[in-house]
Amino acid sequence: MSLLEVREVSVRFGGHMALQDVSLGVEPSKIVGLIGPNGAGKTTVFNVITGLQEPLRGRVLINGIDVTSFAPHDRAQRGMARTFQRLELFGSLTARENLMVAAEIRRTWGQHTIPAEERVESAIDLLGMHEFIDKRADVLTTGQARLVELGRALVTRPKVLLLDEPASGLDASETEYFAGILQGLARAGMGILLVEHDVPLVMKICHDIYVLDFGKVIAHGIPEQIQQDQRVIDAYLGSGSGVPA
Amino acid sequence: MDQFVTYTVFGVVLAAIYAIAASGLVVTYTTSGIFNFAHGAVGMLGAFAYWQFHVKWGWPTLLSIAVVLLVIAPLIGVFVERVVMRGLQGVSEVTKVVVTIALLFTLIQVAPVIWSPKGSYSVQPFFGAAKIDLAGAGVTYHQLIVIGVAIVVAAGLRALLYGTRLGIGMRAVVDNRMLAELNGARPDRMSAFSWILGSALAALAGILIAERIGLETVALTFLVVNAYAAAVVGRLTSLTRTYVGALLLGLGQAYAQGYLPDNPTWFAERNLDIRSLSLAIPVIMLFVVLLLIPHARLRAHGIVRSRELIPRPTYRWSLVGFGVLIGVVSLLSGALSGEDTLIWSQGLCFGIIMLSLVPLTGYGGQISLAQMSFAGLGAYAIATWGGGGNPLGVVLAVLLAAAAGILVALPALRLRGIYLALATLAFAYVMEKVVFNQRALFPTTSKPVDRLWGLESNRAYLIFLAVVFSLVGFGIVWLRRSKFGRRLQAMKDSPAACATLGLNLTVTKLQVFILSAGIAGLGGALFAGANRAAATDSFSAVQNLPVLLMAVAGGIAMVSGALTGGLLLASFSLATRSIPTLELFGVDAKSFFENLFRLAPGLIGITLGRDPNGLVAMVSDKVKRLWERRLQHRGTRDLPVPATRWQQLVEPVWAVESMGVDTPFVPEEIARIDERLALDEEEVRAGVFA
Ligand SMILES: Nc1ncnc2c1ncn2[C@@H]1O[C@H](COP(=O)(O)OP(=O)(O)O)[C@@H](O)[C@H]1O
Ligand SMILES: [Mg+2]
Repeated sequence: MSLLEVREVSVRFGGHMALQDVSLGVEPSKIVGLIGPNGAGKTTVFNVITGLQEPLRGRVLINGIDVTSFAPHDRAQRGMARTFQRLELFGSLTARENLMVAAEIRRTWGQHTIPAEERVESAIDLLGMHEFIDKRADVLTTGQARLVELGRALVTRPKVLLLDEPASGLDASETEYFAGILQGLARAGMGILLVEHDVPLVMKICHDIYVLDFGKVIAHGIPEQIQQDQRVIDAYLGSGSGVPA
Repeated sequence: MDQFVTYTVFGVVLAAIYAIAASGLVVTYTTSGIFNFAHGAVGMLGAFAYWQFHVKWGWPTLLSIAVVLLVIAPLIGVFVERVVMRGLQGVSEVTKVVVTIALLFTLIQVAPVIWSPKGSYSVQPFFGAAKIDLAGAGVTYHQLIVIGVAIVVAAGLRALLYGTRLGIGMRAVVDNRMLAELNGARPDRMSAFSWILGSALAALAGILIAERIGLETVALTFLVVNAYAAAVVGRLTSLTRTYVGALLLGLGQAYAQGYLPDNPTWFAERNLDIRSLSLAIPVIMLFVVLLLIPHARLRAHGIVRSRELIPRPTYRWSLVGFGVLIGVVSLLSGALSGEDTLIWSQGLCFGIIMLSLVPLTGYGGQISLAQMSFAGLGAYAIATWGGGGNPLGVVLAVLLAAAAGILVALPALRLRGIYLALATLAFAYVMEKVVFNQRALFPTTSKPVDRLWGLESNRAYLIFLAVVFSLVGFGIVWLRRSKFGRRLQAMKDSPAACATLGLNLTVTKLQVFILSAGIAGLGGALFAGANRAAATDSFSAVQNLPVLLMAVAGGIAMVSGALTGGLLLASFSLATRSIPTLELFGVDAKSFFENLFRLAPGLIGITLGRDPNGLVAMVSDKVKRLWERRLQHRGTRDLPVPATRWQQLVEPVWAVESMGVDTPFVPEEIARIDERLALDEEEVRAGVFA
């Protein structure tokens, strides 16, 4: 059974169809890529999954349970967490407090096995955030803020993690480190849905890729298939290198 | 039949005036994102200016109106936009609300300085009592003119917003800044223009209604509350719906006045009057319409870079602070006269009531304009059940207010920002007009109160209040440092992120509303104790405005801010009272200083855009800086980011910063704008509130 399933979701903004019959699935231990040009509808898919955007049609299932009518917090409590493309940290709190809040929220509905502080410390260690962890979140650099957001999602111990362009703002070595973390999380059983413009990264770590263009899934397959797909090359990858348009 | 026609005409005329006033609100709101609580005060000034020109100086009607609408109102608009509204970037919704409330207080106090309250002012309807006959009912020319003007305004605004580039730009700003960034042109003109237009519409409404309700500052100013309901029917963005709302409201009021049956005997026997409901029609409508607004969708909006700080006090320094407070009050109380003791007691009670806003608004970002109504319930409880100083009275005060908190919170949970402020204000009006004025509850407008534990000495009571303030304040400090306090702040910064982390926002808001209402109820009970009376007019809806204003002015996220705000609020009356009669250079200095003190709350509030953290932070920041200079301390301070930097850091939430009309739109852009504007209402609104 899929951890996360999106079935034939459509979204309309005014007269504009932002998504048309989009379906995708995320299995445990798999990193699934969702790529496509700007404005293709990737963030909208995330918003539908997390309950921030009501779809016109279609359903969302978490662990086989239809959550389409659930409030965002109810969905999160089924084991899902996300990051935001434009960053959505709690600006007036420190980075550490950002993580604490998330860990404490987790304790309001989950089992209370590991104390919040401990989970926060492990996230700080894992992501190497010691240097800036006591700064206020609204003064962090984009790269730091992305890490904090990832950490904040992780301390809720999600089964499925949605990442919206997590590597933008990271330099090459940070990206590499980051890729390692994602692979580690997947090995530990987490399902990850990754929206990312860094095509080499996506090709390297994803097990499965969906390509979105003008709100439609135009291709789906393993990285090798996607790289060969003529429509994907035309719409997104461009003829040469594999660099996004 | 002719009676029906009379009521209908009356209702339509009211509707016309509401519509004009409300469209002014809508115009400024859509372009600047600021709901102008001072709109009515601008209308009031317009009406007085018209009186000055037309009645006092005998200018012709049309000339007087033209000067008011084309010179005076625009000047006010430009002043407001330049001096008050600029610099409101990176401030929270509550600061925006409070700045316009402050403006309202300033304008309300300015008017009597120019037009002495001792004088008598009245304006005649246009063409006097001349009327025509309509289905057996007389319709005055004035009424016809009012209706005609409303139609012209509607047509004019439509032509402006849909037919001119300026208007299209203004409408596009409603939508979102991304789109607005298509254009590199100047925004300031558009913002200024919307304030000018808004002021002119307010003044027009003021002139038209002045003959009916008279030139009375407060009545004219608050008449506009009725227009709020109409504007909210248009969700603050749609002019057509605003007009429909105004029509419903005007007719509803007129028919209620004409046809509502006498109070049924069953109610009369129980000293209840359901006819008072008719007084509350506009606010009831406001409340109902707000409840019909679809749930505000959660949206990601990027990291909020707020200039506002929420200090994290240490227990040790808080204890020192409370110790100092109790010590100072004990010492001081020996030296104060009886009357001064009373005023300081009131100040501490206001402080406790303002403490209720610290977790709710300061930490949690929920705006409430109903705290004085909760306080009123507390006062009622102690008057009713606290006889002989029975502590049960205070316990019930807290519980009753907390219960009312649930009542407000449940429907209000779905609302955010200005809508929440308006809903709570509507609740406060309903409490005032439908609950507090029932003779079954308050046989007269004031009910005697016994002080808790019979603390008869004013001095003992004052010290007691300082202790209570310290206890509650310490609780708030504890809260700030607790999980719950952190969670409230997180909710304020990003409800969307909280929800996607699994936080039930409804429960969290409900908790903080209950807590806050309970504290306000306690404050109200103690306030009534200080006065030995629960007087209903202390708890009228309007009283919420200065309370929120001074709480923010002191520092909404700080215990010390609440203390400062409370003491200041009480001391304004002290200061005005204690100024000796004196003349300086042949000028009556007493009245000068009195006016200054009356203006103080407003003036303090207006400066909040510059420094939204309030007086306490401002002073302590200065002290800290002096101190650091003395210590030759050169460590870089991590936070706050220097104020000057904010202009560069803060993303302009309102596209007014990035959009103007200097560069002509190309057809493609206009097409995109129109495509945007075809978004359904909810989208647009969600964008506005994101
Ligand atoms: N709230 C909204 N209202 C109107 N249009 C929107 C909204 N959110 C996204 N869109 C539009 O939907 C399309 C998809 O956007 P998005 O999901 O953010 O794309 P991506 O993340 O792939 O870059 C874009 O054309 C965008 O302008
Ligand atoms: Mg995106």
